Amino acid sequence: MENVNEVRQLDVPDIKRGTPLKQRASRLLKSYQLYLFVLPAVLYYVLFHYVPLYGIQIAFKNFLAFKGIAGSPWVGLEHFERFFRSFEFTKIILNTIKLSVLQLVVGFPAPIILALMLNQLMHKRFKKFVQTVIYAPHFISTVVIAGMLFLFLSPDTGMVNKLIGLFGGEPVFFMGDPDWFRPVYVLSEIWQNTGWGTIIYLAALTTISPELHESAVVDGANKFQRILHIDIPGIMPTAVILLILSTGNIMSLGFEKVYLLQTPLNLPSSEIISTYVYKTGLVGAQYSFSTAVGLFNSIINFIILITVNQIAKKASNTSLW
Amino acid sequence: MNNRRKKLLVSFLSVMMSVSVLSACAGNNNDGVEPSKEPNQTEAAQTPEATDGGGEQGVFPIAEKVTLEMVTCKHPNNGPFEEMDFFKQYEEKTNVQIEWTDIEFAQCEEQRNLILASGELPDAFYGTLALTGNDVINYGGQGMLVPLEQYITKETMPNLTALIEQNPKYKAMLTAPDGHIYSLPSIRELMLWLSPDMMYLNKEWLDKLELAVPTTTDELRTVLEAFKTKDPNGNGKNDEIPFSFLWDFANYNVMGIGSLFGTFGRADSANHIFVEDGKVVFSAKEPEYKEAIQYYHSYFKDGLFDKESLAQDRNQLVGKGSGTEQRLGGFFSWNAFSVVGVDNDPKYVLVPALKGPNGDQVWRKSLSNNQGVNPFAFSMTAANEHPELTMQWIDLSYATDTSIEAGWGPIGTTLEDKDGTLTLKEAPAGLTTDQYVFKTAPVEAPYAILENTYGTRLAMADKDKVKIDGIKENYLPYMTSETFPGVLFTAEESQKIKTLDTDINSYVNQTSAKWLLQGGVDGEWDKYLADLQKMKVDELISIYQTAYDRFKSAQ
Amino acid sequence: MFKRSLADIWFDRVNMLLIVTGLAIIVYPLYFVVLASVTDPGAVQMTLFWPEKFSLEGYKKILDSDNLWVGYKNSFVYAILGTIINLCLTLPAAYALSRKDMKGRSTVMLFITFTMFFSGGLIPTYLTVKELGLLDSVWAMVIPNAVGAWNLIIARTFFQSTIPDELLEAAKIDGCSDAKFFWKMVLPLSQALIAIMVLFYGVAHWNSYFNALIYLRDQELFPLQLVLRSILIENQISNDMMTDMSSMGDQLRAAELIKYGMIIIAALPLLILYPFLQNYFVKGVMIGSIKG
Repeated sequence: MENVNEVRQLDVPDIKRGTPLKQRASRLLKSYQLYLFVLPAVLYYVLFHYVPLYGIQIAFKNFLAFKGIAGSPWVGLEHFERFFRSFEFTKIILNTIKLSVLQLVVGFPAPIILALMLNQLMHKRFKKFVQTVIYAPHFISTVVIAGMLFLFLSPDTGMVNKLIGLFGGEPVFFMGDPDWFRPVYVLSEIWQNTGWGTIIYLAALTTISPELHESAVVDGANKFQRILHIDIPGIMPTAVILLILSTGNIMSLGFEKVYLLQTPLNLPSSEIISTYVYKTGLVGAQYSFSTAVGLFNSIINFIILITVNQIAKKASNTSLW
Repeated sequence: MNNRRKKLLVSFLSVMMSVSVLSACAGNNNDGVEPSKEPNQTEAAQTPEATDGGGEQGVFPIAEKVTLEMVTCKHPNNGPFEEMDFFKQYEEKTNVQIEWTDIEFAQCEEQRNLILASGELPDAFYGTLALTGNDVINYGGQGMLVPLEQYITKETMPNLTALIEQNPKYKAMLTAPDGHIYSLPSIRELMLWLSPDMMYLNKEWLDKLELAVPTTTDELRTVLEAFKTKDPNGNGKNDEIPFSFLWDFANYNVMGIGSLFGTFGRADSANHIFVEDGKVVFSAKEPEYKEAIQYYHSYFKDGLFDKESLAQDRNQLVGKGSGTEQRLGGFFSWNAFSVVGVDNDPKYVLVPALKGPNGDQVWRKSLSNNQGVNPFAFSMTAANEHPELTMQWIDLSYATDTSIEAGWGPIGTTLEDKDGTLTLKEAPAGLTTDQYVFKTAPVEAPYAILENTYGTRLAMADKDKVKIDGIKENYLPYMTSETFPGVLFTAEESQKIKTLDTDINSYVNQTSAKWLLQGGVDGEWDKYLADLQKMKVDELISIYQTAYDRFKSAQ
Repeated sequence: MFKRSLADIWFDRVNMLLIVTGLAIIVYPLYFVVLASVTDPGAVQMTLFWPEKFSLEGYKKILDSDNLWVGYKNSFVYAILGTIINLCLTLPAAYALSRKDMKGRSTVMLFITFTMFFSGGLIPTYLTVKELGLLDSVWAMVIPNAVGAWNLIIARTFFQSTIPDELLEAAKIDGCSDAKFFWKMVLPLSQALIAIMVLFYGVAHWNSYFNALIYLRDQELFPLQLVLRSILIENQISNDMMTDMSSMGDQLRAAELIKYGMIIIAALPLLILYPFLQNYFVKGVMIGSIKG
């Protein structure tokens, strides 16, 4: 936090300060425009998100398509109980949280670090080239990613194991070992999405005034110091907001990739909420059950988000509201 | 964000699943290409005119055109339904016009549910892809679908009535637990379904090593050991994979290892449910299962079975089977060429059901695809104002030749009549025969092709003949177990099964896979049995038992 | 630039080394995708740096589809139109919500964030879209996702940290209205933000197929991703329907090829777009302030 203050002192110099008191009256009058700015978005949310919200009630009902959402019979908490009573409930929740947290702890800082590094590249065209290349994996479909992982990690023909063999190691059966599931998942996520994730930080970095850097250089700061004291504080608000948003996603890990990477051998660590719900019969349009589980996840996520948001507000003065 | 995204993924996956299920049941129709037109002994006997004359029976063509709205899901290869020659002819014959809502395959799941949920009911749902079993049972019970048994009479539906009278088991398969029939079937009684599992070994290697095709597990072990150690591909490298397969736990239609477990007296299947003397058995908790696991663990331990079998997808297996240098000694598959390619296909030979160490010799009798009967191919809704006419209309589809035309395209267009046998013609340039058939006929439709039709009235495709002959010769005599029949469960039963089954199956799968790879079944078997009890395996068995008893009494 | 210190020289070297290593790790699988899209699937497993058995079957199947170009065209329309709508709704709202002097902004933020977690599900949303008469039209592809909460929050954060209060105060003294200030000052200062919004929204539109799946029935309106998925499914599923072995074997292989080829065909426009947008990152803002 000291860093932020430092920066502030550096930069305030020469822009005219206004005289709020005088302006207050006219400002209030004029601020109706701000509400007009927000109005279309708010209308959109009302129409497409709040109006359909009545659908949530099917989590407490036995949804019968013919009778519609309103006409279906209430069943109370039956669907939730069914979920909580699942034999593997604890294991599944733990697996979900472990994977999510690992993903967050390793995956969240990665694009920040990479963006800071890229920002230091002096050769503009090379920088552009690197950016474009690392952005590309984002567009590879999950099915193909999963297929490639099986291929590269195969103990028989996979190149990773060939490399291990080159250094005299024994081949590792990555996809057949519960202990390897999480590292494989998280590392491949990092591979796929770090480049994409840097975009936002690179954009944030461009908004830092070059003057700050110039005066820091005059003061004898080296690159590393400038990253620490200028760049990082500069992207902090963005990073904090992104962190808040990602913590609010802990319970709802994507389903497709985990499912595709599951094998009977790694199931002890790869069964998570979404794959489990899928297997218990979502295919047969079990709207009520899946809505109930989704609602359960959302409530937990939302509580986490609110908590983290409060903490962030106190600690860094950055928050969602 | 989360909900939306999850749904999206789920829907995608469900498409994937249905795709893989379908492809696992290889053979859907071509298998069914059968002609049965010899004066079609069976049906014709009971329903005069059933064959061609169905159309002329009294009612049709009706005097004033009637329009019916039907919803169907297209197979990915289908074109628009209204442009199909099959339906154009049908309309001419009947003067009933169908207004199709034909949903693209990729959208089927969502669109169907949205149609149902938003209350725009059509007059009928047509085709096997349109409604699922759950839908039929649920919506039937809710009064959304009309009970059809009242129409299945000689007067209204002569073709179907004859069919059911001959095969009472069809009636049992169609009857919902509440005693009503809410849907009409699509029947393709093909021997192909009996064994999705086929076991292949590399004949070239066998010849080179001067070994015979094994008949016992001991001989199999010898062969695989030789494959592993004697460099049968002759490249000087120890790169042979003696035997590889898929332990496809998510979608286990071809489940060769389950059949191989029969060498200890009881085969295994995806849900582990069998019927023995009228009693439902859960194979994975019986002693034979333990013995089999223990025995085949030694194959994994000694590198005779590829350990990746337990954790690979289909593409990897295909990759192993089709490199430039031959590396694969053997595998389970629906047929050889889908693993090793057309060129290598002749190099692999079918292995018969093996005799185990104790002399047991059993092969899994599969009910894949419900033995070719899909009970949910046509349903009529409560919104239909011409129920009688609709039923008369659909009954035409159960005449032998119309059945063939619905599945293989109109006679004279895609099929030609050669001495009483219907054979597929060359497709017009730019189309494969299959594409042509799918453009002219619905294919995944309500109709009935009986076992004696395929190979007589309808010519049999070569690859099906190969497979059927292979089954008859190598596996059929050893299919001593009775598989659980295609029963309709109540909504409550199916939900209960789903819930129990998800836990139990995933537990059985992961434990068995671990035992096969790392051993330890001996020490952990008792705990495993205790865990299965905790997961209420007995309740699962009793649900199946109830449904089975109900099925038996419905016949 | 200033003279680099020794520490900086080393920093640059290490940095370069790390980036080049990372680049190599990232590039290889990308190269593999390209390679696999032109390699006979049977040989993919053995392929390292060069196609073992060259095959263009996958691309041929994809390009043969009549719907492909229609899909491309539709996707362009949806992405461009959709992004314009997104920007028109998101940017003003985000700016207003970034203004500390706007009363009730916390409530609005909570109101919007809430929708990221709770939704009524597929059916009610579908019914809403249906009642608005959007089904089976271009609008179904661009209106139901007119604002992304995540993007809105990002945009707000950017405005908050890049537009100094002082600037606003100064403008107010000159009698500038909020709308005018937003238009004349905020937007020109926010090129980097606009660039990433274009990118995020544009890519989301380009890659999405779920709305098409539920709101569209007319094949003529299908976006590229849905067309590609259909091609893939068509090739995966039909293999067992085949009457003769050779066409069945071909089909089986083609599905694999298509999977890889699809990625390249779908991602190409986005890979071309990105370098152009990058220009706006560099020009950026020249104003000296960090926090508002």
